[in-house]
Amino acid sequence: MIHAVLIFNTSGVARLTKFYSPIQQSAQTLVEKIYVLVSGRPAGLCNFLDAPELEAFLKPKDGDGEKLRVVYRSYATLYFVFVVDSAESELGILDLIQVFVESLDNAFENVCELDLVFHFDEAHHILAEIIQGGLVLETNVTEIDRAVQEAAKARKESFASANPLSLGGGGAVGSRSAGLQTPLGWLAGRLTGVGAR
Amino acid sequence: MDVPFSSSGAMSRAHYALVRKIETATPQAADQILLAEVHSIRNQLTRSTLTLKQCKECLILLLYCSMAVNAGVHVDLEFALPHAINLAEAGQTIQDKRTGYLFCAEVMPAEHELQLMLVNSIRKDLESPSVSRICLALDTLIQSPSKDVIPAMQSRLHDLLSYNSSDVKRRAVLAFHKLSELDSDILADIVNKTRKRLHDSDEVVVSAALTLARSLVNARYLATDKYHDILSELLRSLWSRRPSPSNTLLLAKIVQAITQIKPSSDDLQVVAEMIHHYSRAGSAAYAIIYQCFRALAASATDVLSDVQTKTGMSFIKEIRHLLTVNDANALYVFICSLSSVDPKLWAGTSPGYPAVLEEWEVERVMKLLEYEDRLIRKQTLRTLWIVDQSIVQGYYARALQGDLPVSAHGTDDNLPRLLEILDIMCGDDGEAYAHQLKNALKVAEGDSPLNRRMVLQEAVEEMLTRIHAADSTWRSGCIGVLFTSVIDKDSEVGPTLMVILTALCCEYLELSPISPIELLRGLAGRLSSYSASVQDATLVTMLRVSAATDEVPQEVTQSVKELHEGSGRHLRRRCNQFITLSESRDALKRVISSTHSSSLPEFVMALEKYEAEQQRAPSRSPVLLPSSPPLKPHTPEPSSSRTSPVPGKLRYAAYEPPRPTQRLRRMSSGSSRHSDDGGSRRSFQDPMSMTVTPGDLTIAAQTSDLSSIPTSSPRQTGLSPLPIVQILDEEPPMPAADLIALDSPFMSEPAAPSIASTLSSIVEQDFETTWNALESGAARGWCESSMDAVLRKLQGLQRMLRVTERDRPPFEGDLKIVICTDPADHTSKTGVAAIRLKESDDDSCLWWMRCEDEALRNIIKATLR
Repeated sequence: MIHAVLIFNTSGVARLTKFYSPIQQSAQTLVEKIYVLVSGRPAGLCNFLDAPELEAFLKPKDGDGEKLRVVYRSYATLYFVFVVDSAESELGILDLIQVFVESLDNAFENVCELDLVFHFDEAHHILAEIIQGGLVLETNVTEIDRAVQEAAKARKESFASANPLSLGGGGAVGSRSAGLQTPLGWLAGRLTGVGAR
Repeated sequence: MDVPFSSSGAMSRAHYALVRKIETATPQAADQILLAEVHSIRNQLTRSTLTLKQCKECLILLLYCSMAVNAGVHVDLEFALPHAINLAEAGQTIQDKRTGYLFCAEVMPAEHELQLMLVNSIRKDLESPSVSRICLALDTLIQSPSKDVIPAMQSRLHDLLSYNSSDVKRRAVLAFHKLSELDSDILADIVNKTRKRLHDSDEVVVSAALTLARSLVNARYLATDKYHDILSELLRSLWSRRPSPSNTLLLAKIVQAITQIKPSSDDLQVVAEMIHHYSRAGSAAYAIIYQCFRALAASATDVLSDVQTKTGMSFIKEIRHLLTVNDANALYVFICSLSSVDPKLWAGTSPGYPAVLEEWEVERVMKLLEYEDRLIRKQTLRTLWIVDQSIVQGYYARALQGDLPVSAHGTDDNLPRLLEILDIMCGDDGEAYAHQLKNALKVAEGDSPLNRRMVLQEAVEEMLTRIHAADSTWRSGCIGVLFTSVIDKDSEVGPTLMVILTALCCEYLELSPISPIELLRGLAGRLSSYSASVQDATLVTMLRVSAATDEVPQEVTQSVKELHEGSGRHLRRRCNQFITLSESRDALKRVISSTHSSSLPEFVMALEKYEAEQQRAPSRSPVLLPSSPPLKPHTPEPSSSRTSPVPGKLRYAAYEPPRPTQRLRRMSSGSSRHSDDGGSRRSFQDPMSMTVTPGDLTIAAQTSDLSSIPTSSPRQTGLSPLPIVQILDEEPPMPAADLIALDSPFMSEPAAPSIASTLSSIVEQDFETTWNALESGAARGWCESSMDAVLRKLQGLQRMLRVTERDRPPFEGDLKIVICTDPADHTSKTGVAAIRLKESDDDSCLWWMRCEDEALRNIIKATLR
């Protein structure tokens, strides 16, 4: 089972936290602990590590806690971290993280940290299309994209009906590309522009 | 954050402004802003004119606030739950509803009283013709399943298993799986439908159905052999399509399911084909390769041998190229795969099975023992242990002599590697582990006298984590051996082991094979040998153990008294604590019962809390520790940190380090702010090295009796002219040292309350009462001065002020000030004003005032202008 999905930046600031098991201490403490575990690891190591110390934070119902493992990938300024038990294959989870990131990228078109800051509810939604209750729901990026786009479409329609005089869509997902010729350099700047905190 | 609002994607200007402020603030300032924001949203939510759109925005902002605060700061969002439920129920769009449900999922505890109201919304959405709404309701059900919902929704869920949309079907399947964890009887009627879903045309539905089928097998609604047949058929059918390596998640799931019920020879043939097919497919296929080898690991050697013969392949030969890939994940897959197959089939140790790996490959495997990644090192040890135990034993012997080569990656620390080897060598034998641990620690610590040896913190942490994570048999075996060494006079217990023992004695006393009295004697007998920090931990543990005895033996008390004679202030206080509390059994039991867990740090905190209470109420009960120094935050004393390099961390680091509690001055006095340590954004401060600015003392003065500062104190001159400060009459005067203690960032969370916090808790109540009583005469405005400056201006009014710190309720985040003439008179509103100050980033502050005395109101307004 997947017990937690966390996204934090290279300074340890949480951008998304989702727990599928009850947590025994505050989410921030757990993020901090995992940040310490992950951020100090050089690039040449595996993308997963045993983390029995997390048992004090996450007490799984089924008693698989002693085998808690942290699986992570680092993209630009962000760490994507999954905490799983021994029932999950760490290499399978690594692929799942890739699915999640690709889905975010599809939804936000060149996803960056700032998108997660301003649209963390959307990020939750995308995650909910992939994982539900700690179980994998969907792994096909195209299917996830379809579900998310449908929701975005519904929202835009709703926005348009609520704002008949508005000229453009007000929806979050994908709306940035509508008419906005955003230079790539600016997008790249956004990747590193956040996190001064 | 140089992104304009228009392109930020923020949902509103308020959202943008908040994020912008947070992203540029220091962690402490960010917390204050977030708490203030929560408070402000709380007020917004009470407006009767609140629209659903505004409500949605508020809920998203609240979630953002609760996620963005730093550790140690708690944001309680339960007040917004009714709004979230309302949004989930009445939301016009799916997005509105989703926000409502998301908020409930994130904030509402499992057994919350409002769950029932949410159930009602879920039920309605399940009945809806809209696929999106049904999916949303099912998502919520999967996220927070509850036994109560089963009768109301079972029949609808049953129908949804055959719904047209695969989005609905797979969610319904998972909902059944989650609900069956609460009540397996609900599976009775869905066996046939699950079998149908296992043959669904949509792979994701099949994947979900596999999860549910496992529940059916566990609940005995589906026979294992039938389940096996279904899985084998699925495996063959899916494999016939030869999915691309990046599309093998379902295949991996089926292999995993088959692994759980032991694969047949036919299954293994397919698995072998898969290994052959995917082994050269690069990193995209690692997951499926890894899963295939897990299936091999679950099979008997002779079956594997047959499969190798039938297919004409060698499993290990297929993956040997991974050993040369320059990728840690590939090496991990390789070494795990190697340990999944019986060495008989590849190591060349059995006749008829030639060695698969060449000499250079074996050398490379041996080099993995020095690899930087701990998982790979341990897995290599495990593999070698299976091949030939003497290799690992020889390696351990070399490690004990400090003879291990330093790896190219710099893993030259011997002790962690010793413990890794021990873990593999001792396997499930906790007793053997404990014996070997003692040897390893002895070697690592060296031969110097006990009180000069360093405590190896890494070993303490590793050992405690290992014990916590172990199963009960391993744990009791290990603890039995370790505890016995306490009473064995011939056995040397080094400081590292002693610290491990102190933690274990507190936590697992009930597992001890030694009686508490003997344990106490053993600990006391060894007490004098160690450095002060270890003695401190030992004394605390002795106190904890003494609670399990009827009477503390005389020689134990004597040892403590002797230690008291020759120790520094901190230890003398600890000795006094032991002597007093070990005689006062009821008090000690109360202290123990007030802890949340049996860990050593928890017990220390409870002791500090108890002592603080004793000091706070000397008039009600006799002072138990007359010679004790004033209460200070539990920080390592500089003297003890010189005698041992670890002591401060020692007492806490194996658990949770104390979090800095925000204090007022952290916001305003930049001069005392320290930069991050070691790249971490959390900064910890040494209270002894902090600069105490006059501003700090002014704030401290609001809750402390400055008259108790000796007149000769040089600090006092800097404070003159002092404001008239009202302190509650019944509180005892506080020693000057507590002025600093008041503001220590070392107060851990939840820390034993300082005297200051107790004072302010009484003041808090006062503030709320006063604030609520002054309903009319409200005013507010901006003041272009910092909060410190405003406070000084108010002090300049020469009236009595009562100040409640910002991190105390009510109105957390605001500095709360009551101005009054007679603190004992709670009825008169003349000369009374309640003021709240909220600081902004630019050294200005927002103020609210309630004051029914017009003259005073005008004076304060003029002061704040």
